Amino acid sequence: MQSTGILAEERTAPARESEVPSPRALGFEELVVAYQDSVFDFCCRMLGDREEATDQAQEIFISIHQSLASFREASKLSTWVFRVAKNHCLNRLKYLRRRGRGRSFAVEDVAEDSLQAAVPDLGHPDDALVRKDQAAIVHRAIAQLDDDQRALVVLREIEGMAYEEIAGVVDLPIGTVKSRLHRARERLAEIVVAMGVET
Amino acid sequence: MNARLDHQEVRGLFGALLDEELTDGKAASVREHLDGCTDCRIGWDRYARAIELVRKVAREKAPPSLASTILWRVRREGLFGARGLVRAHAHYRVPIEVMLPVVLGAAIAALILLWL
Repeated sequence: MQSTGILAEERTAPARESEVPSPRALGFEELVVAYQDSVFDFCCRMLGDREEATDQAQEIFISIHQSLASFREASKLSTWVFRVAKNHCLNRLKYLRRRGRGRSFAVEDVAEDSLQAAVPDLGHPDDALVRKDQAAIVHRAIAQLDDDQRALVVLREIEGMAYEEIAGVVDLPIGTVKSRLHRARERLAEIVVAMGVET
Repeated sequence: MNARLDHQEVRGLFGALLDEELTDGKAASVREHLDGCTDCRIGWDRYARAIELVRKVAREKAPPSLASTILWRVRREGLFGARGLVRAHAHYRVPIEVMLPVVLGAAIAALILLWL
C-alpha cells in the first residue's frame, strides 16, 4: 500500500506568513516582492497563460495597493492577497469567455509553446525532461477542472495552504472546502488516468 | 477490532487519508479495506498519485520586471488620479461591436422621444 507519509513530507508549504507580518508593518514594495511569485504562480495555473498571468498579477497588486486601508489585521495577509487574486482570476476568466477567448479545457488544445514557456529547464537534461513531462501533464490536467475546482486544487496542492486559510480565501466553511476539494481531487485523478499516465 | 467500512465510505475518506487527518483506528480500518479490495486499492493509488504529481510540479517564478512594473504603475496612477477609471478602461473597455449598437440605440431613442 502506498504510504501517505511521503506525500505529506514532500510538501513544502511556502513560509509566507512568518516573513510578512502585515502590509502596514512593511512597505508596499516589500509586499510585492514577498508575494509576487505566489500570486504569479496562482495566476498561471488559473489562467493557463503566462502573458495573461503577468497582466493579472499587475492588476491584483494595483488593486491591493488601492485597498490597503481596508485590510483588516484580523485576517491573515496571505488570505487577503489570495482572495483578491482568486476574484481577479475568476472575473478575468468570465470576461475572456464572454469575449470568446476563454482558456481551453481540451487536452489537445493546450498549446505546446505555452507548455514550454511554463516549464523551466533545471539540472540534468534527463531530469529536466521528466520534469517537463510531469509539468505538462499537470498543466493539462488542471486546465480541465472547472474554475472553482482549479482554485481549490491550486491553493491546497501547489500553494500548500491549510484548509482554514483556503476557507478564508474562497469564503466557504471548512467542511465545504474539504468535500469540494475531495471531488476536485477525484476528478483530477480521472483526468490523469484518461490522459494515459501510468499510476 | 476495527469497524468494517464499505467501498463508498472508504472512497469518501481518501482525502482525509491523504492529509493524514484520520485517527489511527480509522486509518487502520481504511488500510484494512484497501488491502482486501482491489477496486478501492486502484482508486486510492490513482487518487494519491495524481495529487503527488501536482504537488511535485515546479512553481512558477514571476518575471523579473513584474515588481518594478507594478511599482511604476502605482506611482503613475497616483500622479494622474482617476486610477480606477483608467484601469477599468485599459482592461475591461467595452468593445466597439457592443458600444456601437448601444450608442445608436440611445440616439434613436432620444430622437423618438424628441419627436413625440
